[in-house]
Amino acid sequence: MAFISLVDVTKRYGATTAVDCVSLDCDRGEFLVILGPAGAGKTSILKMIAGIEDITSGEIFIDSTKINHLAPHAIDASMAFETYALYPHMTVFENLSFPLKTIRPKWSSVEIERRANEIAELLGIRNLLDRYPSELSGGQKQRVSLGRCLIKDPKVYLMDEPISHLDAKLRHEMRRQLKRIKDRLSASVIYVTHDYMESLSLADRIAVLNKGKIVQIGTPADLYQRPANTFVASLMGYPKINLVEGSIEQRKNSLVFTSADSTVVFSIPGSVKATVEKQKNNTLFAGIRPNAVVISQVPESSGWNKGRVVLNEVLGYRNIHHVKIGGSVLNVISKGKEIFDKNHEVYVRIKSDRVLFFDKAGNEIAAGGRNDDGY
Amino acid sequence: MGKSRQKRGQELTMYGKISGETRKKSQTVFVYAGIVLFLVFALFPIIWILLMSLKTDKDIISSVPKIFFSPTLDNYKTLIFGIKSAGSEISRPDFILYFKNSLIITTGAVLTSLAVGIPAAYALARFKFKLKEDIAFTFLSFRFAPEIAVIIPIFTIYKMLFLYNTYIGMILVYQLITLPLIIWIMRGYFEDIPVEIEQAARVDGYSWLKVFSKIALPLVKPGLASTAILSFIFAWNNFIFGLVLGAKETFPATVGTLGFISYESVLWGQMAAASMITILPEIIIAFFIQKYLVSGLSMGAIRG
Repeated sequence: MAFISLVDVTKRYGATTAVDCVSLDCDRGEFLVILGPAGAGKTSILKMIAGIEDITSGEIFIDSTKINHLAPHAIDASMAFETYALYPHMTVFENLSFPLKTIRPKWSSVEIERRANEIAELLGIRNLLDRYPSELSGGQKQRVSLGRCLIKDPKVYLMDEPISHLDAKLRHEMRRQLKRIKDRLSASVIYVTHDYMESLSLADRIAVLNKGKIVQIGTPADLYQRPANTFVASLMGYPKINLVEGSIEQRKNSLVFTSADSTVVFSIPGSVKATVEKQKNNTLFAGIRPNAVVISQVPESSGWNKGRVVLNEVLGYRNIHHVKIGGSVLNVISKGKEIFDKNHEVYVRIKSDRVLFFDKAGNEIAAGGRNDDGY
Repeated sequence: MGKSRQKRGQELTMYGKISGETRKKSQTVFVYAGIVLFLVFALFPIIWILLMSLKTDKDIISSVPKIFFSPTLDNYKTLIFGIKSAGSEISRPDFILYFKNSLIITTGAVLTSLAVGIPAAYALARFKFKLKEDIAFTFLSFRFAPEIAVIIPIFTIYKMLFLYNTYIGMILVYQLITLPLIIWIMRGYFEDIPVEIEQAARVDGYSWLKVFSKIALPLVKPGLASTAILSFIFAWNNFIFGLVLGAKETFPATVGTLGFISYESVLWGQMAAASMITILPEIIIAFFIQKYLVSGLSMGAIRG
């Protein structure tokens, strides 16, 4: 049995089901990320593991002990809350040392102080120890809250969007710090986020959650390269993957994908031909990542689709163009030097060996194979 | 040329500043005028009584109220030490007893209400249980009916239970005043604490009782102080319970003050002195805890 195990766990609040029959395993020492949009039930799962929310049905085990009916203080876990949940009437030092005071046999005040200083050092908040939470900035609060979570040595760390409220720069910095901290932790970590970048960069495995249900569990590479359906594909990557509705047709001697209005056309690569051909008469979705499209002023050969730029975002080392081709708009990532103005006529080629195919219901049926490179 | 433009610019900003400041000033003047007006309205009766307590009975009943008079502490002396002095015919040294009664009953009532009301308020704020809202509403409903409406049945019950004219009985009946107040106000303060703060403490390894004493209680402390004072004032000012359910041994000061009116005469001077002494504890408490009163009323700062 896995170290932490959720078996058919359901959580209902009145008539609404927040978590719907979720089964999930997390091994000893594993860093598991639960990824999902707001309201997917991520926080409810963490709170049930921590023992602060009742479990409507199902079972949760930690180290083969069933914890369904245990009080929070009887469960060996620590948690960082999305809202920080710092104790307003205590200084940063008191906040950090609060969890240590429940350790039995009791720690001496010297030990507690040494440990609090150590964790403060790690998170760069040593100079804030005498302050009250109301005197801290958002980023500082979040680090204190993370510190309070890390200060003990429990069997499981639960982190609920611990860095989501930071501004972009600080968030990247904290992500790097977390990655460093992660290597020092021997316990399991269950980490909740809605940011796919965080999940890709930190996770050993990712569980994608939507509307209370697990959609897919896998390594970051699995999820990015072989998303189980359009939901996971859309979640992974920015700008979002382009989903073009269309069908498979035989043209001359090659098999091609054409969009519903026949404006986006590309030939099917050999590697997926056999799988895709079976869907010949059905509606399909082609999942085209924005970096699987080449954009140019002139068509360099046949097989280029003509379009018009409706929006461009110049980001420096890369640019995002929204190109309207017939009835569909494709997000295209181009190199830093390739900038096309709004309303400019352009030609795009789809790297068909990197396209993902989904059936009408949105489930993946084939991946072009070369989906591993790039952003 | 350039210089003069610069100068004009400076003047302009200076005027701008002045006009802004004047507006601010006139606003402040209005605010202060309002405050003064209110203070005159609120404090006039108190000042009148204070002056009255320092006059001799002869000065008090003079048909043109005397503004200038030679102040005397005779009324206070008579009241506290029972010394008969010129001008006062009868002394009422019982007043000290009534004052002590007030202190015992009111303090007892507030402490009892806090001991019962704080856990009750916390339970109503945090726990889910059957009939929760009905129970909360029942507590509030104690304040709906005027006391005079229930006083006769309570009197009968008290006679039967031998609670009539006892401190315990008085403290119990005062719960009707203090308990609903404390439960309802404290419930609001407890609800204002983000629930995740308490959840965090529970995950940190504390039982709910410890979370209550180490997190919830310290966080509502300012609210607690203001609520306790408020209920103390309500209880201290009560008249009807003492009048009907008490006798000479347990009369509070409010009822005691009535004793200065008798068939033969009204002892205005002593009555005024008694009133001054009666409001003293409230003034002292409010003065010392006004810091809490203010922060208690603006407790939103608790959030993250």
